[in-house]
Amino acid sequence: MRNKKGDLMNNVLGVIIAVIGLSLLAYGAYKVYQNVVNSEEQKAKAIIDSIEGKMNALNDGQIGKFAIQGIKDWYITGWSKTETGRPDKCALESCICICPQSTEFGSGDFDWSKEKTTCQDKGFCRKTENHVAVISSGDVAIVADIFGLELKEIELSKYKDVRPKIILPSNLVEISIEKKKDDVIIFSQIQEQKVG
Amino acid sequence: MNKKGDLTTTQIVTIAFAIAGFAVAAGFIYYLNYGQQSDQEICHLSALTRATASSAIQGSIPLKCTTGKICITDGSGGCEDSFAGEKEITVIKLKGTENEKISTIEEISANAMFDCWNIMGQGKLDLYGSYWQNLGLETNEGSTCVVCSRLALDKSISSELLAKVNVKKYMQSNLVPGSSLTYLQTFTDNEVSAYSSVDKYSYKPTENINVGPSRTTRTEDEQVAFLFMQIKAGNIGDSLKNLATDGAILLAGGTFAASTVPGGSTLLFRLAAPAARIGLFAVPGVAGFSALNTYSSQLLAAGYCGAYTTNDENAKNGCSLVQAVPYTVGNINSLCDNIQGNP
Repeated sequence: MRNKKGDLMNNVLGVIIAVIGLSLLAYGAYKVYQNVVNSEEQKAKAIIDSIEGKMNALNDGQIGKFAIQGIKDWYITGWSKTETGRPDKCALESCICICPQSTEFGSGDFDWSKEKTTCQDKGFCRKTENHVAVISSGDVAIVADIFGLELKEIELSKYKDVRPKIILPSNLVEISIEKKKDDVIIFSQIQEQKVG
Repeated sequence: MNKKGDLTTTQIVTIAFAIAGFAVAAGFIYYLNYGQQSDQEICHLSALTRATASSAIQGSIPLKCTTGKICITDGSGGCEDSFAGEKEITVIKLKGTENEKISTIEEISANAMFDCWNIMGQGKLDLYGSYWQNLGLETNEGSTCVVCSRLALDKSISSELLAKVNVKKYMQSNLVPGSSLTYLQTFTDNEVSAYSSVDKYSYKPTENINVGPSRTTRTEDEQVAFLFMQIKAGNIGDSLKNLATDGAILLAGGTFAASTVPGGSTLLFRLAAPAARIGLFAVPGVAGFSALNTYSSQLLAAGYCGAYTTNDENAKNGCSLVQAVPYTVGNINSLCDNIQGNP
């Protein structure tokens, strides 16, 4: 006569062991993947967190200059809450984002709508209550507007393909953060700036 | 007697093996999570992993090095100017007599430099073997760095105190913790017990160490980065010679493990101008940077030129350098074409 209780116990134990084993294996594989693949993302998060921290540390009317570590083929940009065409992850707020480039700025392949999708999918954004402009010295037309007016008066999206941004180098970049009233301007003087 | 539902010997053995297996797997995962390991251990482990990996995958193995943030303060300040909005800052408050405070700054600086050197494999590991090739560049087209730590001196530390800090002397006369060698001997494979003469490379110290008027109060934090730089080159003798004549090493009184250097000329750095390599602390008479000039110019550069431990047969030679430089874009970028690791 077969021992049903013994068989059941054997099977249940086997299933439990198999499930736990597979879970551990999957978790281990995930951690290995994270360790190998996600380092660039971790770096990007650290950079945007650092910028957010510095932005919050400034008082109204203050300007701070900071050396920020860059990542090749990534850029920093920002959207004010009054702007249209913001990534969904900014929701209803203004935000600053760090995003990987999906096309080369200044090249014939450049397509800002692709960049926006990439920014939404692979970028990291931090919300802020202030109007935000992220610009570099390469964005000449926009620089003139931004420093002449309050940000809430500017519809940055009118610049279409020349979305204001700071293209990050693979070493350090100096950024200035200016906080005035409701505005935050993040500016960088980049020598070899390609204008998108 | 085997009652219904009792565990058999086979079942018990199976369960025991399963538990042991889980323990091993859990240990492995814990290891991957780097449970109790410090940032330095994680960084060292990732450096070893990368250096010993096959050249085909070397570039895709990340260096998991996070820049340490150290603040030395002599009051209630926490280096807010330097580390505004940044996290995980180690604040060290100076205590005791003036001499004890000086000694603390010297010790922290020496250790920061030694740790950077040690963690990155003492310059003997090929950390960036296929990195530049992955970018489609030649091996000697750029230097790659890791900023091991940033050390900020809070404005509460007086210029008078900083002027008495002598890291160079400290490294010459003090032993590395847990070692019978001084910092200097450690950096030079026990070959050197005194600093090399600057005259050897036609160095003109008067141009670089005149630091201008001293001030007793400082209005800003001053910040130094301890960075590790590595560059590939076909001829190590030329590399070292160029490093030295460029001023990068000798301004800071650096000394190298490879003491015999054949002549030659290989351009190692992207920027050829010697002064640009050194940046702000080479500029005489800048009052705002006087204390930093004094402090930074005492910090050593240490390097190693030679064959790397690598699997890449085509790129075994190069130079590595650890140096303290003011944490400014100009200074860091003149040494580093590329920076790896987390900020």
